[in-house]
Amino acid sequence: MIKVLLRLPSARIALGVLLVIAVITVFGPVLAPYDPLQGSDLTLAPPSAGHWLGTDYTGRDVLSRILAGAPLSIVSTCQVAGIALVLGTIPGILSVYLGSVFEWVSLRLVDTLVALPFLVFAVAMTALLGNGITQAMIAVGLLVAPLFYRVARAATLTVARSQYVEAALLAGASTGWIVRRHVWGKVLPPIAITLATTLGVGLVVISSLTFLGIGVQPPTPTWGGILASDLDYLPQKAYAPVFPAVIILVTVLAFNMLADAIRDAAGQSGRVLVGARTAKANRARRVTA
Amino acid sequence: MRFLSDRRPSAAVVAAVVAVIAMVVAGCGGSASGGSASDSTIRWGVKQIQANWDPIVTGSTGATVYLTPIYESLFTVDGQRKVVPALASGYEYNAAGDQITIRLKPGLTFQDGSPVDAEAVKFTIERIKTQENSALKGSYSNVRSATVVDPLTVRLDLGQQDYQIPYLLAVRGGMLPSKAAAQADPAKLNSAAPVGAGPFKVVSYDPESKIVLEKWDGYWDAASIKVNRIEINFGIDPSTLVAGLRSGVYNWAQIDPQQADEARKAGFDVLASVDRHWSTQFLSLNTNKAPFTDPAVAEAIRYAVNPDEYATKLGFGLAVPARQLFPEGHPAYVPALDAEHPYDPAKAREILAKAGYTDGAVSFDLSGMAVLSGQVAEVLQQQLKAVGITANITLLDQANWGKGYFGKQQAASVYGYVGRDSHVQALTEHFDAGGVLNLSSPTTSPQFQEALEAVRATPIDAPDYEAKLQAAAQAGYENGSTVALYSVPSVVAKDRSISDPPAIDGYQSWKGVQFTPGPQ
Repeated sequence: MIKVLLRLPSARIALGVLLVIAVITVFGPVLAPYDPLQGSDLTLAPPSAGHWLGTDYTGRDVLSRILAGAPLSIVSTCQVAGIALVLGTIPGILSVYLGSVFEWVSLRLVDTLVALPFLVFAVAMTALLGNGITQAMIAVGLLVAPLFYRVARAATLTVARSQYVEAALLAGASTGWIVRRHVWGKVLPPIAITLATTLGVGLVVISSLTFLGIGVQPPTPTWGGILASDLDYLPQKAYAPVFPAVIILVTVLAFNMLADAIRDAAGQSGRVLVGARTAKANRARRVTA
Repeated sequence: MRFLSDRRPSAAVVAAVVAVIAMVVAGCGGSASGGSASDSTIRWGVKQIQANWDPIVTGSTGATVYLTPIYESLFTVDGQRKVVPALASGYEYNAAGDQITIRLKPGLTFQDGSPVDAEAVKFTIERIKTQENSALKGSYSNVRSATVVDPLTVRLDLGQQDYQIPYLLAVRGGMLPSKAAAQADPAKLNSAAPVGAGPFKVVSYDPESKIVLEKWDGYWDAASIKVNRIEINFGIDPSTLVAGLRSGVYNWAQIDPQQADEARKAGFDVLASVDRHWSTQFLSLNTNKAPFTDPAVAEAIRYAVNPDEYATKLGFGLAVPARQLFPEGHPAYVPALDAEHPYDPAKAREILAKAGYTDGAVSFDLSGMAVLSGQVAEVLQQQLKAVGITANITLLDQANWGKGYFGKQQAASVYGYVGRDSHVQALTEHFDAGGVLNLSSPTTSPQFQEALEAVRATPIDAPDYEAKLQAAAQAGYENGSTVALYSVPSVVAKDRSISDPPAIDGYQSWKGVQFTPGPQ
């Protein structure tokens, strides 16, 4: 599947962007040309050779703050996706196998969680558990989990109730073998698609929360926080919100493009894609031969 | 995707859409700017949201600017900060100075038709002292009881000699709501239907969004009110206020200092000076909590803060650095205090070293209200870092911050205040045992208590009043636990067709304000 994925230009672009973001996340604080917390007398300066993206209201370098803000934004995004993945997928698959009581209870629980608006719930959770980004991320992860639950359950259902699995069972195949041979390949792609989408959603949520000042305390740099403070100084620097907005936008776009590409490359559509490309190549070879 | 690419809209359709949009935009602009001068309506935009409309619940804060059109007080203040009569015609003290008798003007009513009489004053004072959510309890602690002498005369018995009561009964702490309305339903008075005896009465109110006020002819000085209507729009995004002025949606807006230049360039009058409405931002330290139990730490902090930096970075040319709680020109301003703790980081380090603290050994949580104090806290954190003190910023929402601050639980906090009509009240709130702004409460200093007693015992028109007031201000600040940072005016941008309101400290008076049909 990964080979197929890499054949798609949109996947290559998405992965390229995400690689850059990953590098910023890991090395951002080191790459930052200035101390992101240290102010100077040069406040609200426009972009210049010394400060590529200008300075903020206490004279801190904006580029340094964006770079230093990357780890918190991206790691929290991964945290949301990770929590949702674990909390959603496992019960989702198990709901098919663990009998009707577990199925009924877990379905009702998931329905309840779906009904809650996650940004509001995250705000309430931070009020309850203390103003920390991890608390907010657990709350959001919990509320995004139903997405994984439903996707995993739907994918597992199609496999578990299919005739070829029943045939394999009758032929004496073990559950482990069935999972490896039949279930894995069918369940994984939709989950990978959901994961990529969730990463995008997660970044939007984390940026929204930090925009509202929830979960972080100044002077901690975050992408959402930089955007929020820039909006206070529009008369001085009308273009300032563009920088944090663009990096949030591009990252979310890359996650969504990746999700799109995985969908195209996986399962039936992937086979069609590969088939079409192979056929085209074969045709070309035949013509030249 | 196919839908879009297959059917491109024709040029005619595009033109039609553009034409419609242009017409709508032109229509909006026309209706908004039309009739701005002729109907004498103040269309006021502000980012704050005012939820409490009972002056007893609001307390003597900056928010009284939205209440003073509706409510009138017994006394008011003039441009020289002198007490002048309003609903009352005058007052007199007994010889001991612990009893004040107030005479009311005859024949006045509230906007609901009920009489402005001694009973109404007594009822309000009792409500201040007993109502659970009263924010004026502390300010009136020295007022023991109110007695009706006759329908137009009321006597207040005081706990101790106190010549500040006329100030207390003036604008911010002395607005008089209708007794009938408050008696019928105090919650409704506060949240839905405020009724006072002020120049404007409420026409409609959308909670947290808009209040519409109309000139009330029963006001005792109605002849000097030229504005017919005031519409206050709350909760407006500050970045849209100047645009709102430009488009004519507002003709009066309370803006942030960073927008003053933009408003001025767009051709609006900008009122911004510390002789009108000001707030002083300060750092409150709790000397009952570590590390401030050691006076050396507080002393070092006084040298470590650089008021000039706040004024330039956060004040955009409008703010002034503050080394005391009153701006220059205020009767309680003490010139000597300005020179006492100059910005001297080396000296701050020296004091800390002498007290046995190594670099980074002093650290504390610096609280603040998220909507108010974030930027001040960030600058302060850096100034303290420069002398080796670590301040961890903890910004909270208003309710949670208030619990910790007014409950005296925080070690340190950034906050601001807008002064008080009673100068002594301003001092007691910062430095007295029960002061709401004294984070170290109940700690107070004997020096301040002594000076406080002296100023309270001095009639406000006595020649040595200001000297005694300043002595109390100095004793309070020197021995208190408040560190001033900077004073900033509250900025109003207004249409040029509206004449300047009278410049009165802390009071938005609408008297004499009128629309002049000038060149548009």
